[in-house]
Amino acid sequence: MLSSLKHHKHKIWFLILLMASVFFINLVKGDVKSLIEIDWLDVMGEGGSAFAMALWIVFIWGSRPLGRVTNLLSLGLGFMLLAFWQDALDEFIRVPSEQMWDQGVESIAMPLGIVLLTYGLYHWHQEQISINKQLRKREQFYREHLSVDNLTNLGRVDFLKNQLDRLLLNPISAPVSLLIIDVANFNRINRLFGIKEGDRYLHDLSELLILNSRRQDLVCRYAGDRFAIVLPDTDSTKASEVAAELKMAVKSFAFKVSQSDLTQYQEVFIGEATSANTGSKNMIHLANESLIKNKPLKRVA
Amino acid sequence: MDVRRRVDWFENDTRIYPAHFHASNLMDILLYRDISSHYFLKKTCLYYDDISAGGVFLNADQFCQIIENSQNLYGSSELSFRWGHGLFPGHFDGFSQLLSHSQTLDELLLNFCIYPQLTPMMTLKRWEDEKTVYFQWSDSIGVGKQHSFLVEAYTTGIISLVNWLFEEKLPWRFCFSGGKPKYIEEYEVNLGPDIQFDLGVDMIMINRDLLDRKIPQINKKSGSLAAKKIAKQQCDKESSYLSSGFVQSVLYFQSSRFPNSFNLSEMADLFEMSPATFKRKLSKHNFSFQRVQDLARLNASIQLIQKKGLKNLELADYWEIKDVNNFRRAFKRWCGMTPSEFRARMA
Repeated sequence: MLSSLKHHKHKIWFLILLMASVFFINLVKGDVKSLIEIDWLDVMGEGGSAFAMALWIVFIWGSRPLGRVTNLLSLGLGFMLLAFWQDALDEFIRVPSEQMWDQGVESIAMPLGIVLLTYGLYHWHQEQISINKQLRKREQFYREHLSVDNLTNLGRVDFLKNQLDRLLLNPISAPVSLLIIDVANFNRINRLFGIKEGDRYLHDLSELLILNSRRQDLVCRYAGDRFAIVLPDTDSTKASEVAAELKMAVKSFAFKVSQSDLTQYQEVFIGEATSANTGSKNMIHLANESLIKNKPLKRVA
Repeated sequence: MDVRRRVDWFENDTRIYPAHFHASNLMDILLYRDISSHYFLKKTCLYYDDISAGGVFLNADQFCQIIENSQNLYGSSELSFRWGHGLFPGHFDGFSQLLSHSQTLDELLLNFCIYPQLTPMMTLKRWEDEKTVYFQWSDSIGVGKQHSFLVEAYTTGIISLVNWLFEEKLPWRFCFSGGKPKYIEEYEVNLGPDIQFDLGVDMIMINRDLLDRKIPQINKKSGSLAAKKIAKQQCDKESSYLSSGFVQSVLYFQSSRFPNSFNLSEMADLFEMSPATFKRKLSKHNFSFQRVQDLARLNASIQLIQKKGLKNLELADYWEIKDVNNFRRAFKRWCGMTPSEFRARMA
């Protein structure tokens, strides 16, 4: 979940130490207010803000790898946290007004934090653009992390239906084709080399399918060892061409079995369907029917 | 008095399932995905180091908890099927050997009915009519929410093994008690296209004439008949120690005198408990006495419909229900659909 937190161990300790020292400096230099003097609404507001900042930092550290963008974001949020922390402490501890430093912490840390955070977010934006380029064939223009398959990082079948319906509903009616790709005898890899190797094969195959499809195509995981590729603006002749190319590519894919010298070659069978103004459900059904027709009943050894 | 001595059962807190068989297959899948054992063993009081050392036995509660944890952590409906594919023949000592040594499809499948160790918490019963052989899953210990997960996994396990041995997909038919799931595609890809949902029972069905098919030689374990005999002796011995799960025992007794059935206090008597204790025990196993009655009657009715082709009137007669409409209503409560709908779906 927050598995990358452990990479940020030093930052976490530094931040905790910093907050603790601000707290102690306040204690030493100021006087603790009596209960009546405390404005609880302010405590809630400022304390809550400090808490939210801390939470944001945890999310950032928990989800991002080390690197420049992460550093900028944490510095920005860190300064803001410090400012809110000092603000919140002010509600409990009165620092004599001739000491300017507590004002300083607030009025310098806050703008500095905001500038750093803004700069960091700009770079995050840049980073996202380059990631989008890499993800293009996996998600095209729509992102929904809930329907991503956690093995192949491809969209799942609900994502496929969704995207297919979007394309089919498009009033400018260009033909849309769908390929359903089934690994011949995938059972074999599982049985001979174990489920772990089976998982690895599916993962590698998904990469291979992405490499061998065009820029506008969308690769999804259908279920089990079955994949689907949406081909926008593609008629059935072109779709068959793409399918033949994919078959060739998979056939010559030399999968190396871990901890052995073995190389495994697998084949795929492909079912095709081209839109006839029907919904995604019908189109998937047609593609599956075509797959069953193309697939020999008896297993090829 | 004779019956009393035969009532012998284990409960959902009896440690009976070896953790290094089925459960560790499931754990391996999660470990491959970098999910720490600390998470999937939560609320089970178990430690992975002990399990991998061997000799740890799980009770049904712990097993179900591991499954529940795993489903939450894995985050995909694929898990039950993935687990199923790796289950059989597996590494369960003599049991796995017996599976690998089977000569025909019938012999292979019969092993799953004879040895409940192969499918923890579930039992498989075989019955047949003129054309079809039915392999029906039955909850033996009250698995509650995990019912469909286990049915999915064990069904996939058996189908995957048979398809592998025969080098082709046989024309299986399936019906499941659960509603049509969102992940219907997993069922289709992993099991086959001929699947019905909402039927009140979980069954694998196949044409009778396919059962005598010989398993192709190359896929059978090259072992002597003597080895098979030893494996069989070992399995029979281990099974003879094994009593039935509590729910399974109750269901068994409830249907043993059909069309007459036991009421709650008679049943409690059989189990040498007070009715209150018996009720508590049932609810501890995620069951109620009403559900036991409904389930036992549904199972019997389905067999009467399929085997003898009984009509509603005859069935109402059999259960001594005065009115056909009342029977239809009762059947709908047991099954989720009326008898005529059921016949239509099974045809």
